[in-house]
Amino acid sequence: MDIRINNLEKIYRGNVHALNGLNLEIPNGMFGLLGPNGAGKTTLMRILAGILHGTSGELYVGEHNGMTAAGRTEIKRILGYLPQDLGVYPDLSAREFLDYIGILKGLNDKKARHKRVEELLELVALTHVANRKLKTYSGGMKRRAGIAQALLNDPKFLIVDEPTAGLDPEERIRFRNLLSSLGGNRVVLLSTHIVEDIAQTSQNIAMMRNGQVIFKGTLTDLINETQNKVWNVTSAGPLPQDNPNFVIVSTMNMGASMQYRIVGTPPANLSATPLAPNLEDGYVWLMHAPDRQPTSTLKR
Amino acid sequence: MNEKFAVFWGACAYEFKMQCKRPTVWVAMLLVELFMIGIMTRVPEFTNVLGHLKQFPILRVVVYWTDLLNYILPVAFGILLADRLQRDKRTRVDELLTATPSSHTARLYGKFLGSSIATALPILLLFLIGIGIIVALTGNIVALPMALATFAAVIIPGLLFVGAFSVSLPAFIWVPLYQIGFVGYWFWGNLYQPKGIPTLSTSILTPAGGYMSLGFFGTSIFPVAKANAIQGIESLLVLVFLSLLVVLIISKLQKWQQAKM
Repeated sequence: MDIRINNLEKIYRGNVHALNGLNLEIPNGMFGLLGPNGAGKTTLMRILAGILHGTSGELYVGEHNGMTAAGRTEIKRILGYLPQDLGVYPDLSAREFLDYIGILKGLNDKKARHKRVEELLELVALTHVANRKLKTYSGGMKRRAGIAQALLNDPKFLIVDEPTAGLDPEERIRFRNLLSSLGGNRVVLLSTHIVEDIAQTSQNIAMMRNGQVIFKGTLTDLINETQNKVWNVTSAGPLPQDNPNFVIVSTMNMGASMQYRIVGTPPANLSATPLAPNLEDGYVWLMHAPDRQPTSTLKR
Repeated sequence: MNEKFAVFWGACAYEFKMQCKRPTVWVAMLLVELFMIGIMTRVPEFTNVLGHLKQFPILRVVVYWTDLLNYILPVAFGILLADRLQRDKRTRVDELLTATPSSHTARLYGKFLGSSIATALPILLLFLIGIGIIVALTGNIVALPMALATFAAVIIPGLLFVGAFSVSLPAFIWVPLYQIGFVGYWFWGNLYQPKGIPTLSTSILTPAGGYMSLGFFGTSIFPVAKANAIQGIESLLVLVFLSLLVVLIISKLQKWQQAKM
């Protein structure tokens, strides 16, 4: 199964353009969607999940047309969704919550539903606290309960929106490992602004800016975009932050001098050493490249 | 099992469970009940009935007790239900629920019925305690089947009506504003006949149950001058029908609103 999005637009009330003719094709497997806050990722996720309706354009999940009411319902049947701000009923236990969502997802056979709930509690390592009220859970435990509810119907299409935001490093690693194991025979769309999350989980990625996709390819492609553009620059004083020729990725105070990692063209009056680019450099470069064009319209 | 019915039933069961687990429901209802009993003990008619229970026809005593409960407790009932829909938004569960293929209308009906039944439990409990006292003091066991009839005919239709509006309308009205307005409505549209101000309290739209009480059982404490059994049936059916209708309309409006987002 794949997902095809063509010229998708979303205009909110007040003529706010959240998506501007977005084009994207998402194949089976893990797929990372990167972009800064406000790029339109969450709007796209919500449209894909059938929560918001696109204003115009085409959207297909497999054979289901996401721009029609009937299509949206069919997509929801094969969908697992973990929203950015996961809401739970605080007075229900994880077991009860999963059971309720299971009912709403159409798992009508009580025995099979209960079995599935237990399997997922086991998968996300919450069995031992499954009878505790959700309001007593930590952020990481809630996220795990969230991914369990998303998997209840064994979805062919899984949307995970900013799953590691607000988690401590250990929970983040644990969650990434869990996500990586879910790729299999389904589309897993992972949306985040945390570059490290993508690096650890997805090979295929897209980057969004201003409601458009400005890059689609593999991690290697993204890194290659920044070949010969990453430099180590040493300067006696501070470098200007708003220089149009380069972006400062990191700064290290060496006492007598400052050492910078920059992406772009280094200042001519300073000595610069080329560095091997990484994913973060690629991200920064694309986000600040003013002439970057959105990806072209897809041919169906 | 039909898919929509399964969703309705699931939502009903879990909303019931969640509302039952809410301490506010029990504490608030208990306080209102204590307040109500406190007021009643200062009403001469009530102390007269209580003091001479055996001298009154048992049906009149049971209906009197039923009407008394329906006088004030539905106010607390409505207020306690008013945040149920907003809670889904507040806790952000609504996004998760919308991403499931379940019918929004079936979910709303389930929420309405499940949370209404749970909130009615403290009322039922007090009602049964009162009936127990009546049986104990009069030794007349006939009060039990009569109580079932009065509860079903007088209290339940009104609670369904109040429950449906209180669960649904806050989708479009700020909850505290609805709650304040609802208290005003209850006194204006059910308990009083203010001079020169039109009121629903004498129409079959009154959920306090005056038409059923007077029409079916021949006595009522509500401002309904005359009512026969046919009018009682009319009032009962109108209240139940409007309950179902308002949930349906609000559900459709919410879907429409969501499509416009």
